[in-house]
Amino acid sequence: MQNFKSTNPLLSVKGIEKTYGHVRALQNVDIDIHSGEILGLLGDNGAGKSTLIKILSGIIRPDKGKILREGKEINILSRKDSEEKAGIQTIYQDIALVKSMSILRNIFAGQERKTKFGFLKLREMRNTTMQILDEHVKIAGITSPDLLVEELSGGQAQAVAIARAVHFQRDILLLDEPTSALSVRETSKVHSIMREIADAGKSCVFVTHNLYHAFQVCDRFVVFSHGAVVKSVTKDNTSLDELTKLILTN
Amino acid sequence: MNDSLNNLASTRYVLKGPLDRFRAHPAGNVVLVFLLVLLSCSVVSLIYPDNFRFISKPNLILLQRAIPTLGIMSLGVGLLMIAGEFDLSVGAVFGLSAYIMAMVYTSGMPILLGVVAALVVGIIVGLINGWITTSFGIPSFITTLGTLFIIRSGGRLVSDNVPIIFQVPDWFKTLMTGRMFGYLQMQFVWFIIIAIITWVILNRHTLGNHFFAVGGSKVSSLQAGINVKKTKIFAFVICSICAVIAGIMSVIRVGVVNTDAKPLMELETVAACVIGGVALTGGRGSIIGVAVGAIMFHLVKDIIILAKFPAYYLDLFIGLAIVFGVTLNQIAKKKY
Amino acid sequence: MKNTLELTDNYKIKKSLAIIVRLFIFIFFFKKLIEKLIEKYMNKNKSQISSESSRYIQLTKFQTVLRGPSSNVAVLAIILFIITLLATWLYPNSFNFYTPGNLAVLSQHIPIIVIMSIGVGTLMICGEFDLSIAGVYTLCPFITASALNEMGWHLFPSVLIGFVVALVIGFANGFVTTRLKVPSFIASLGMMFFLKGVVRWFSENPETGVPGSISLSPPEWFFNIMAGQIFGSFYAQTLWCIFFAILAYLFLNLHTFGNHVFATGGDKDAAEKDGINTSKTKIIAFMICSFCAAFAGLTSSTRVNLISPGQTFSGLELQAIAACVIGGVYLFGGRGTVLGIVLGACLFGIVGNLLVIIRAPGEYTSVFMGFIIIFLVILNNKLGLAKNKKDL
Repeated sequence: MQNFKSTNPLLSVKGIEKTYGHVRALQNVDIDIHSGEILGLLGDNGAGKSTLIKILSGIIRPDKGKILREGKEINILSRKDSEEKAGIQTIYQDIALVKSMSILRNIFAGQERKTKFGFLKLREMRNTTMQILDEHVKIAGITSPDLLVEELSGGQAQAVAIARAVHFQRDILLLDEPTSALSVRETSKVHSIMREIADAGKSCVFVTHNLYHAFQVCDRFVVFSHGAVVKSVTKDNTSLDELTKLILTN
Repeated sequence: MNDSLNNLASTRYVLKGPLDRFRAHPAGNVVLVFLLVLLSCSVVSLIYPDNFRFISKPNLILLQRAIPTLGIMSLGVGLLMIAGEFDLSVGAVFGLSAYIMAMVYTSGMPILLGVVAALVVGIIVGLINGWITTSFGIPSFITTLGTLFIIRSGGRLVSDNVPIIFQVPDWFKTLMTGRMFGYLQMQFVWFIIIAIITWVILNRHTLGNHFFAVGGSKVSSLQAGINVKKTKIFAFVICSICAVIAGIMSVIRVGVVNTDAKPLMELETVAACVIGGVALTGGRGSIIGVAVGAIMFHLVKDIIILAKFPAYYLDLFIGLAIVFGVTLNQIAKKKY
Repeated sequence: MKNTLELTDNYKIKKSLAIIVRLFIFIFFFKKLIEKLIEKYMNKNKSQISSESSRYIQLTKFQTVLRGPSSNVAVLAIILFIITLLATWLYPNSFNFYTPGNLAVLSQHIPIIVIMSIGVGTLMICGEFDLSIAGVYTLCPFITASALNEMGWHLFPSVLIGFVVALVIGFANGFVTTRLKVPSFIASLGMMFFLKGVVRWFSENPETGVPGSISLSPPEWFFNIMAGQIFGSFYAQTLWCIFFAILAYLFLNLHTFGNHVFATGGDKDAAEKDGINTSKTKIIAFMICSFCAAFAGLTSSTRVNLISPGQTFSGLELQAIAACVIGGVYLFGGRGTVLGIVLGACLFGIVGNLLVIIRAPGEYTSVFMGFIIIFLVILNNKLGLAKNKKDL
């Protein structure tokens, strides 16, 4: 396993703060993400993990703090920035697909293949969709890219979302509780996808409640509590018990 | 290490003063604005007693007569909105119920029987609205849109567009619309009474608790064992009853009734409720907010008339007031 | 054998209700039948697609429409069509539906409703409402007429300013809804009151203070383009209506904007996470809605040559919403088809027309419409694709 302290981080956040009304969701958060690692963001509910993910995805903006990509400061103001400037693709707990639209249209929502005047290149989109469905999502029951997302089961829908992110991915994949709705088999599939991506030199940030899963698949852990980072440690230097105790006592 | 971690928890919440906690209440902002407006009107009226006759007996009487119609209807609509549904047919029920009461009374029956008949019709409409909405999973917007069309036109068919002219017995007239102590109009008193009743239902009764639950999250209520269907039907019935009462009250002094309700009345009640802090999505709201919202509606109209602005300013300012009132609430919601 | 269709009122009511009930039971079973046939058809037909994988079937256009919400309206429309044919055959003297005169009326009246419904429908698919369209419908032609007649402008700038005002109103509605986070229901309600006041203000006769109407009096070529006769009973409005419908279809189904509209309406959070600018999409939808309302108003006032302030009371907005809902547009957004909207609006107009022909009192339209709305939505629920009914 690589020694992450020596390589320069691919992405880092420094001094991030975010307040909602009278609640400080994030207080002075510093995190580094290195290439080729799977980073686990742990912590109980309300600790601030999802807020950080939203900031990295460009959905909300931090009140204070910096985001650096390969040492250079960047501003993530939108999802497009998140993708292009920071190289991030995000997968959400609530799947974030539009249930009333077909798989095809969902895959390209926000990044449509279009002609000069904005009209859709439907054939190209259709071919890409079927390619995506074949690459990673060989799940029984998906018979057509025209199926509406609401006709799929939770696991199938999340698999589609993951396939989309993996297909369009850049360097960093953020996963916010991706496996809560999935079966055992589907969960281990997601884990192996994460391992593949990390082995290929890219990074994954895995937010989860499930310490056991996190311990199986992550290389390094960052523990959150009440909006602040309380511990950052590699897998070698800690144990499942220690992490559990850390989260439970806060 | 445990100490510093404990400190973390305490640094997380940034508490502010009591004013902010007041404003966090759904109706907090509206009440503030209302009091401000009231205060300014009173002050201006005292300074310019001839040009702006706000605190004058005729004006106060006028306000007290005008407010309860919208106010009582809004209370019912507000309860229903808290339970998560809409009723667009209240305007039609308003008109129809008055007509039915007049019809029964002019055919020789005692006036109270007319009132009962009107109430029965209202309850039936409420039951139908509620049953269709809950049994078929149709958005209440649609159901009541349908019943609105049906009742409004059906009413016109039944009455052949012929208005009924009638005079209620004096005791009834005084009871509903008389004047107490020279200053207080009975309509307003009834408004307060019904507001108190709805407040008690909403805040001190199980049913009110169920309204909030069902409007806030239908799924959670089902899981908690609440009978969502019954609760919603109840809400629809209460809403119709309020519309009936408002309808009856509105025609007693006039003595002429036609089945036509004022157009847009149903939308005005929704506006009054939203201004008063009731959430369109349900689960949130307060009686004070609804009452104040309805009062503000008429206050704005009153101010414009008193200040002798031309008539078209009325609608202009109502429109602006609606948007302003709701924006205020939205901004407040974000912070708290 | 009855020579005329004059029956007693009570009988009419009972008969109509019975017909409606039977109609919907019929649609119910008819649809079940068609769906079974389609399933068999789908299983047999695994069409090849131009990629390596032959595991995926492509749904044909017909199948997509049938699975969608507009199929119910389509069936209803077909049934209505059959009924009119039957009635014309049985009562050739008194059922004057397919006469040149009646078709002329239809050809002029229905397109107005359709154009307005297209605007409202697009906005509804986006997940918002616009209750101020009656105001726009009255105000913009009013402005055009004032500019043309009282201020002596040329035709083109007058029309232009009317539409510019409509777009500004749409933008304002959209802005208040997206930036100030006021629910569109309320924001457009406020805008409606506002516009009512503005119309009143403009139309007031300065001496008497009484609101008055204004007439348009456009040059003849303009009249011909907007409301002129093409041939026989065919009027220009129909062409405009078809034009709008085609544009709507193109932009909703084949353009990026349409994809954004469905996404924003279907799941705003998911759309934003996908990087779609939901605020921009909604504002554009609001502007489209106002534009359609203004156009409909202009066409209608060109024909009648009169614009009166009382039009703001007409309840047009609820009718347009009803037409869209009948046509399968989902109230909460994200679903709907242009075909459905057009059929729903046509249905509205035709039923009204039918009732006039059989000399029923005008109120019957609304009663009918009320029932049809409720029953069609029930139908859409029971037979539609909404698997998770708890969402409703």
